[in-house]
Amino acid sequence: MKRNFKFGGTTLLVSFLLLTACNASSEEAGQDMSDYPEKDINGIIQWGEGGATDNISRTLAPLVEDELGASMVMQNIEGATGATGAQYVYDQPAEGYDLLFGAENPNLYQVLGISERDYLTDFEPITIIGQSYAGIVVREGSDFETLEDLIDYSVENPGDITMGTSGEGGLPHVASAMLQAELDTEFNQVPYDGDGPLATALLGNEIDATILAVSAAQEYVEAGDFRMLSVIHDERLDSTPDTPAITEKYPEFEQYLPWGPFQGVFAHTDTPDEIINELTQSFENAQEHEEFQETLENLGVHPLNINGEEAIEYLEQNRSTSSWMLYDAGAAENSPEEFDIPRVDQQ
Amino acid sequence: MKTLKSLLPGLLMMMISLIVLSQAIGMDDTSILDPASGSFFPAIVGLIMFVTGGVTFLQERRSTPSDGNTETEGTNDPDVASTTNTFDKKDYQLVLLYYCLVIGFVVILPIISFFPAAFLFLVTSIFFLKGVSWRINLLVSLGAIFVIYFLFSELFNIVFP
Amino acid sequence: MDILQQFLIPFLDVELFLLVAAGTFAGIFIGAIPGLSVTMAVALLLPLTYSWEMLPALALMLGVYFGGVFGGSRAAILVNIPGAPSNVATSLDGYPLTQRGEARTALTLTTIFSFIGGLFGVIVLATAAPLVSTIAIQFGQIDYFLLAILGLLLIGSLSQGSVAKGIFAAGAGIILGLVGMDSIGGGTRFTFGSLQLMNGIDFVVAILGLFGMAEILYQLKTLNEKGQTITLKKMIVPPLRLVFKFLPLSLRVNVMGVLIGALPGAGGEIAALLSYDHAKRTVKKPNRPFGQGAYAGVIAPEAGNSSAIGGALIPLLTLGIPGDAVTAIFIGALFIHGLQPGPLLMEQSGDLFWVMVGSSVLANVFLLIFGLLIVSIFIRVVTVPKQILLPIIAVITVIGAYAMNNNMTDVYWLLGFGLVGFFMKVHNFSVAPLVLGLILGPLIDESFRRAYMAAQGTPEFLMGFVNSPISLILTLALVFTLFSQTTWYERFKRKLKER
Repeated sequence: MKRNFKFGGTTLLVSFLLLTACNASSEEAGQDMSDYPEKDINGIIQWGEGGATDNISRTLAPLVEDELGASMVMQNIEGATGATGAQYVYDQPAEGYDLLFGAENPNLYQVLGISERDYLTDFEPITIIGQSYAGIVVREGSDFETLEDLIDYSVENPGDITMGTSGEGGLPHVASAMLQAELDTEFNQVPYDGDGPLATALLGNEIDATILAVSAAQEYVEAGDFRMLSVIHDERLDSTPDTPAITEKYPEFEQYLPWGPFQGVFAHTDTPDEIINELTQSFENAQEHEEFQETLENLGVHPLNINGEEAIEYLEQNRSTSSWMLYDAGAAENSPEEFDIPRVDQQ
Repeated sequence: MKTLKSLLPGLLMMMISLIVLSQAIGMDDTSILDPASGSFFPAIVGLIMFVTGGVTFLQERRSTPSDGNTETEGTNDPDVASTTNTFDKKDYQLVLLYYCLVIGFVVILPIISFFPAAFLFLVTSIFFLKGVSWRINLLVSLGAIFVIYFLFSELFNIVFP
Repeated sequence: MDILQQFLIPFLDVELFLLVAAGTFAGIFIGAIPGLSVTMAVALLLPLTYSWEMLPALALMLGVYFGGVFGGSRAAILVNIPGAPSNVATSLDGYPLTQRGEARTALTLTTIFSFIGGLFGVIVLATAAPLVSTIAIQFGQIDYFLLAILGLLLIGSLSQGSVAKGIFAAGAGIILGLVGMDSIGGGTRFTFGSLQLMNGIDFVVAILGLFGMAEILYQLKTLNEKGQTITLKKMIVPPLRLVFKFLPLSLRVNVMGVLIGALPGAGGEIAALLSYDHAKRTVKKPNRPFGQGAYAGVIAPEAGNSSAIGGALIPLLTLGIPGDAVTAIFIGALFIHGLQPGPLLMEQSGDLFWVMVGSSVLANVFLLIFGLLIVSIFIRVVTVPKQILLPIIAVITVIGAYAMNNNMTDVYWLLGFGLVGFFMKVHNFSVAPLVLGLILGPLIDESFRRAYMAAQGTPEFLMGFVNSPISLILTLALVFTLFSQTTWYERFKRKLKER
């Protein structure tokens, strides 16, 4: 690698000449890290337009642009529960010009056999932006008044309760696995295409219960359409003080918490440290903007803004919880052991 | 020889449906008899496709071989009907050559980037299709590329391969 | 009079007025270019509007939405490349009209009926949103299944020549639509172990290939024979007479469009297909057979998909549930601006609702004005020499296919579909059933399996076909449609006449 001579204006001029002379030479210049970033950065969003990940990423990007002094070009590369986007970023050169704006899903790719990619082995976390909480909801007119009603009924009548999920590895799927692993519940799981269709199905009396992000469910609770039985967290949330936390009745869940969907930004694992540092710093500063914090609040996301070791620990905890829960419920294709994923209680 | 040619569509249809069926049956973690599983519906579709293939095969066999092409009850457009379905060797050659040209464009696109690739493609293919002077050719090619580039790249932030 | 005041805001506020105009204008062109979708355009506006006020942002996005859906029909009619899946049906009769030199009539008629349809949708949104959303919510998985099967019956009328071949093509389309991750079972289907295929096949790419690329190859032949240029005819029939003639048809189709648009699991593409089917069944004496340039064949699908927009806004504003990909982005925009889209939205921010209705009406007015004005510009496309037009379209389809998902694999699919579409054209397989299968296949598969999974066992599943009013109506419609295609029905009808 080149050493960092201070060319000043000459560097600029030379690189400008090189750029105009031949497009391909920009790659060569890109290896000089001191100048990072010197071209547009591609932000790959692994979920589609209009989703939570998309909203958060697209609002954060302009703030990061100001910090980094480079343009961010955001694109959605969706498909295969986000694996296509993750793979795309992994296949690009590890120069910090392709960043993955992702959700919790890649933590489960290996155990579910969806893809070989994994946050902890293939990517370097730039930041974990925030996390949301999950709530167990039924229709307002439902016979299930409390979480215990639902649990007891499903233990006594296995498979009678229809539980809407958002497909393999999605929030309701993993949470149902959690309930099954600890409480021996059995639901008839019917997969839908995400929060919107799930809410529709619950409204239309097609399913008996589902698990939604608290922010998504709250509106319907306030309108008197849904009843939230419990939040999957170790304490009540400020936004829903009347809904009991799951640990109030079932303290055995404590070991898994905090757990929930999260959003983060990731770079290829081979990206040079200097670039990671630069990015980490910029993303941290950008998230401190008040307007961004407001956006998160509006979206019902609890801000984390963590990076480095802290972010890695967070990812490990989330991955261990989700993988083992799925495995114990018999819903995983591969054993977490194959990928050296430790159990939560062993940490 | 002619009979074989007219029977070909039916045979081809049956072959494709057999591939579909075999894929549906061989699908992992699914049971073909469970309506809720992922292979039940594809298997039914495959079966229906196979039947239509069989029907076509029998129809073509019954119809007089002199019919040549498939039954042409309603061609796309009577006004231009005289020209439809009569692709001779020369036409096929043209189509094939042009198709190769498009493939060439797609192949060099990621290698030499959008501008040169699209320019090369436009200039050669307009030249190839004849009838346009070089000046207009170059002007139109350049203009079109700039408009396309502006729309896709500048406005829509598409990063070209 | 609060409502009227809020409704009039977009008309009186200069900024909003201009933004709706600009959005509609840009939308028409974006929609008309193959490969640039309304969803992409609206998603790009999202970060832009972050720093804006809420209402200007929504006004611009609504303009692009209405303009974009309309714009898709321009390419479908002029060059046989549907700009979006909802314009597939339009190209079936629209392109033949262009080939006959009646492009001007086709473009003008669709503009007028898009305007009427769009306006109709907005009126329903303004007056009956809560009612429609209650119906939409009651639509169960089995009803989606029935609806999709009804759409599939179109094969019968779409396949020119052999019906067996039509069914086969639709089957192949369904299978292609199922390629990739199985969203219900979690496994992969028909991927042959390839990661590229796991993503499935984007049906816009398939449309670009089957219609666009195939058409380019097919047209090459006409280059060899001189004198095949299209001469533009003046509008033969005064459009006003046609407008009045087809008004009843368009209103029927509009009702269908709004309802289908309001369903969270179905959108403009299904509305357009069913509208086309409806037109084909009910218009007894078309000016010429459907598929060869019937006016009703371009009017119905465009009227249907325009009214579906108003429909799609209904669940968005009454329940916070998106009716399609574009309204999903609207939800994001509302969130970002601190609003909670949900059942309480209308109650808490009723002003927003009426401003949106006002902007939508305005967008439709601009659509009519711009649409009619631009006809003369768009129509030039037809007069461009083929030697120049075909290569340019080739570049646009290639780039457009790439731009859909920023993925080269899609471009290879485009090439494949182009060749398949070409040979299908040559051998008289019509490509429309294939596209029909691609669009409806995943819906049929998912809704059928969900309905079966939710029902405990086969008897309960079968009961589902009749035990709700909506299901019963759809089942009867299906049975009747099937029956009406048999010879018994013909005999039955003849007997009735004799009496």
